[in-house]
Amino acid sequence: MKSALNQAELSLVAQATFNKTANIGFKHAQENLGYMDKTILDVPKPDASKGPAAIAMSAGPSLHRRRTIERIRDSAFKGVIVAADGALGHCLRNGVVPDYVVTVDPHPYWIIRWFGDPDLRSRPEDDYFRRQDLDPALNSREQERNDELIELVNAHGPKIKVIIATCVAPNVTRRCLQAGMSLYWWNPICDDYDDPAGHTRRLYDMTKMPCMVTGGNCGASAWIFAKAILERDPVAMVGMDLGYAPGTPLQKTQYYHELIKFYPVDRLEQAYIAMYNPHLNETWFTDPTYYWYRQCFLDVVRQSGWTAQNCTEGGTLFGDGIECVPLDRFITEHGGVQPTATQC
Amino acid sequence: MAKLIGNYKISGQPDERETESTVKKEDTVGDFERKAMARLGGSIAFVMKGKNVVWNGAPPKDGADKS
Repeated sequence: MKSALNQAELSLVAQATFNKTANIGFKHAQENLGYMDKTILDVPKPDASKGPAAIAMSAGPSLHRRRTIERIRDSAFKGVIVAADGALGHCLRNGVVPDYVVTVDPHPYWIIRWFGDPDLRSRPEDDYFRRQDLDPALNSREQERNDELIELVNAHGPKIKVIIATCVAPNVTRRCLQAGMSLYWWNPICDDYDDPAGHTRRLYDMTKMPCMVTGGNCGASAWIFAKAILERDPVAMVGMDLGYAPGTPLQKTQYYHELIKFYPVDRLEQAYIAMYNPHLNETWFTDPTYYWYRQCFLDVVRQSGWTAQNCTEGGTLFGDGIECVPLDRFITEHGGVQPTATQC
Repeated sequence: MAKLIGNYKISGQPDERETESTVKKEDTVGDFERKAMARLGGSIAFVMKGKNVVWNGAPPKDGADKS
C-alpha cells in the first residue's frame, strides 16, 4: 500500500466526483422543484434544554465496532443528533431517533435504501448493500431488512427533520414525504458560486435554495450543518472512519469493484493507502475516495478555523483542527448521564 | 547474479529503470491508476471559498459579478 495520494491524484478524484454527480444532480433538482418549500435557513433552532453540543453521525464501521449508538442511547445524551442518511437505520433499530437526517448523494436508487425502499424488488441487481460496511444489517436478508426499515422510518419519520439537498433522487424526496418527515432544502456548493456560468450558480438560480459546503460526503455535510446552521458547539463526529479497520478484506471495501476493473489482481493493494493512527496506535487503510474525503474535511476545518471533536475511536481522520476525544468523555462533558463502564 | 527489483542497484546490474520494457510498465501503472481514479468519484463535489460555508445569493464583495 502507498502512504499518501499526491495532489494530481486528489484532483482526479475531485474531478471524477464532479463528473459523476453534477449533471444528474441538476436533473434531480429540476424534478424536485415542486417539492421545495422550506430551506435549511428555516430550520427551527434546537430547544435550549438540549444544550449547545451536538453529535454528527456518519455511518462508518466504528459505529458497530465501538457500539457507538448503543452508548449514546445508554448515556441519555441530551444534545442534538444529526445523522447521515446511511446511519439512520442503525439508529432507529437501536432506539435512537436523530433530530435531523442529512442526505446529499444524487445516486438514483441506492440512497433511498437508507430510508427503506418500497420499490426494492424492481431495482437493478447489484451487491452494493451486501458488501458495504456502513449498515451491516443490510448485508443479508435484504428484502426482509428493507421491510423492517420501512416500518421503522414510517413510525419515527414525523419526528425527524430531513436536511435534503436539491440534487437527491426524487424517489428519496417522495419516500421522506411518505414517511411524514419534514424537508429542509439546500444546494450543494460544487464549484465557484461567483461564476455566473458555474454549476452552483445555475442550481441557485433555478431553485433559490441556500447553498452549503458539503465536505464531499454526507457525514461531513452533517457536521457542517450542525456547526453552520444549527450553530452547535462543540460538535462531535462519530462513525467518521473514512477508512477500513486493520484486516478488512479488500473485497469488502466500498470501491473494490471499480478498482479491480483497472488494477491487476496482484497489484491491487497498491490502490490503497495505509495510515498509522497515533491516537489508536493502529494502522488503518483507506482507498482514494475516502482519502479525498479526509483531505476535504481537513480543508474545511483549516479554512473555517473551526475545531472538530472526532469521537469515532477508529479510522483515518486526525490532524490539525481535529481533536480525537473518547466518546464517553465528550458525552460526560457536554450533556449526558454517563454509563457505568468506560469503553475507550 | 539473481535479478533484483526495487529501488536500488547492485554493482554490475543494468539499471532496469532505463530499459524500454520497464518504462512501458511504469507508464502502464500510471495509466491504469489514472483510469481507476477517474472512476472513483465520491458522493458529492466539494468546494469551499474563503471561510464561507453557506452562500445565499449574495454578489461577490468586489462587485465584479454583474449577473
